[in-house]
Order: sequence, then C-alpha cells, then structure tokens
Amino acid sequence: MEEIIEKYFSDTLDEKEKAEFELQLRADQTLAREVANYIQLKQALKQELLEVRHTEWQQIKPVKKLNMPVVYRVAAVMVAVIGACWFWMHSASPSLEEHANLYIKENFGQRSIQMGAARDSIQLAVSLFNKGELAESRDISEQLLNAHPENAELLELNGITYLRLHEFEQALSKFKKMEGLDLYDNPSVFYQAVTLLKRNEPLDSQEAEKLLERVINENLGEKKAAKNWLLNK
Amino acid sequence: MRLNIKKTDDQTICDGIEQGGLGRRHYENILYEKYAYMIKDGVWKHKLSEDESSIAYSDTILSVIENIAKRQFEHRSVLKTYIFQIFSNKCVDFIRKKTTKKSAVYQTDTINEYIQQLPDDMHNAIQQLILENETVRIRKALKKIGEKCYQLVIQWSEGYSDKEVAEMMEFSSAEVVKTSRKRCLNKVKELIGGL
Repeated sequence: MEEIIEKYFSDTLDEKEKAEFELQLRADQTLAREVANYIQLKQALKQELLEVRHTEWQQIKPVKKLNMPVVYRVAAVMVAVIGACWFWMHSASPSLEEHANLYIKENFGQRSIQMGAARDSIQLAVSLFNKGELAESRDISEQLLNAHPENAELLELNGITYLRLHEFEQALSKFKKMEGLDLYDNPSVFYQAVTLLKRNEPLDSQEAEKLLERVINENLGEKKAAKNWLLNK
Repeated sequence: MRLNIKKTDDQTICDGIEQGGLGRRHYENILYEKYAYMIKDGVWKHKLSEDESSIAYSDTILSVIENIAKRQFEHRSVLKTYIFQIFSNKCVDFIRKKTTKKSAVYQTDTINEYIQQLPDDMHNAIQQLILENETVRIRKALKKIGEKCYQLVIQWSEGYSDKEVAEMMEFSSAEVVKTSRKRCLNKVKELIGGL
C-alpha cells in the first residue's frame, strides 16, 4: 500500500490509476488512514531534514551579527588599504611563479566539508585533507577513483592533494584526465599551469604561459585569473 | 567544479542539482552560500531574529532544491527572484506560526502541501486523521532507529532515487535500498506503537 501512496504523491501514476486510487481513498478507511500516516511521516522527515541541513549550513556559514557603525569604519579603512595596495601592485608586479604560490595558498588550503553525509568516503578524504593528513587523503581518493574514474570532484581533490604533496607528475595526470570531462567552466587547464609553475623545472614557465593563453582563448575556468597573471607578470 | 560561489552561475547550480548523485550536495551548498545574504533581509524587513531568519532561509533553500531536483523550477523568473519570493513567504509564515504555536522551531508546511494534492472532498477527512502531536513522536522515533536507517530515510525524504542512495551509501543495489528503507520505516512504526 505504501508503494502506491508514494507513486500517487510523486505523480507517477497514469490518469486511470490516479482516478482508481482516489475512488478507493473515498471508500476505504484503511487506505485513508495509511495516507494520513504517510503525510505525517513526510512532515516529520521534512522537519528532521531541515534541522540536519540547517545545522550543517551553519557550520559552513554561521550567521554573523553586524554592528553597522563598525561596518562603516571598516569599509573606510578597506578603501584606504585597497588604494595603497593598488599603488604597490602597480609598482612591483609578481612573477608567474609568485602568482601560482599565492593561488595555491588561497585556494588549495581547505576544501568544503558536507557534514550531512559524514560517513561518505569522499567526505572522509576531504576531512583528512583539511586536517593536513594529505597522504591519507590521497590514498582514499585514489581508491574512490578506481570505482569512479570520471568523478570530477574526486579528480580535482586528488590532483590538488598530489600538488600539495609536490608529486607534480601525478597532479598533472589527474588534471589532464579532468580536462577530458565535459564540464562547464572547467579549471583543469589552469590547474595544470599552476602545477608547472610550482614545479619550476626548465621550460615549465614557458609551458605554463601557453596553458594560460589557452585558458583565455578557449574561455575555460579561471580565465580572469589567467588574464590577470599574464597582464601583470 | 571548484567551490567558487561568486563565479558559479545559476544554470550550473541547477544542472548540478538536477544531475543528482554524489555531486548534488556540492551544488546545494553553493546555492545556500550564494544567496545567504537574504538572511539579513529577513531580519530587517520581517523583524525576525537572525536565527529565525536563517532557519526560514534554510527551509527556503530546501524547497528550492526539491523543486529543481524534480524539474519543477521552470526558469520563468531568475533563480534569485524565485528564491526571494519563497523566502519572503516563509518569513511571513514563520511570524504567523510564532504567534499561533510557540512550540516547534523547525516547523514546515508539508502537511498542507500533501493535502493539496488530494481531491478537494478528501481534504477534511484526511486532515482529521492527522494527529496533532504525531510528528513529535515520529521525530523521536527517528532518533532511535540507528544511524544507517536514519540516513536512509532522510535521503529518501530529500528525493534521492534508490539508485543514488545505493551509490552514496554503498549498498549493493537499488532493490536492497528499497527493502532496507521499508525495514527502517517499520522500525519507526514499532517505536511509536503502530502508526
């Protein structure tokens, strides 16, 4: 009985089945009771889900109270700092390698944890990554990739982990695989450039420049950063 | 697929949620963070506390996720407008519920949503069969069925298919998920003394 009720509310019954169900609902008190039970169960689950996800989301982005006068003072200071930084940046532009180091520091330091699926192996890999246990995280994400070789999120995590472990060949291999996936805004070519700049062997810098130009010309992920780096090198 | 909130456009988010599976959660979190600034609106416009406004916002995002996953978001308006409309209604509902029923924090409108799907002449009959405190008892029972069962029924309530749940929770097949879920729901029934 639960199955037909589920199908009714998920609108997967055809018109004839739906009409029969509604006819039976009017005549059969047991069915009416089961429908009421089903609705209550869904209500309880929805409330439970709201509590679970709300708690998770608060850990990603807790609500902060704003003190408006302080906000205005901070904004004024920030404008002054940004102005000073603009003069400083235009008098001494960083090299591509320095751009890459800064990018790694700002973007590859922590990954987002999705607490709701705490037992999920990918979340374990992310959790280990965030704790700095990179080798363990790498091993887990490698295992998962055996089962899911074209999972972009896993390839990205795995590639970044290898990069942070300075296993550059492996990192490049993962980002190359990611390049072959049909993704919107695919950053894998940019990541290959970052890896080469970090490795910094002979001819890596020139190769990285070519990749950054590809990112711009083919409108790939992180195009804005690529443009900025090439403009300001 | 970096978690870069500012750059991920709405279409990418919708596509990611619609695709389901392991990646869906990632896009759900991006969606949550992208429009979380609306929580302030709940405080300023509707005079809710920050906690109340953030609960209303979380409820909004869950509703939007459900609609996107079921492909019921038809892109007639932009996603921001859609979310904002739902959020405003949720804030108003929140105030109304606060004044009439001071107990539960995580109130939802699920009962009405389901009853509206039934024929009009059955609304009252089913409403009368729904017991007032049953939801509280069911939620208490849910906390006693064990972690695996709990995750199973929660993911079912989120609209994940049995196949997706099998992949995420490492069950051997969708059939096993279905059987396990039935067993878990029976446990809930036993705990509340026959629902």
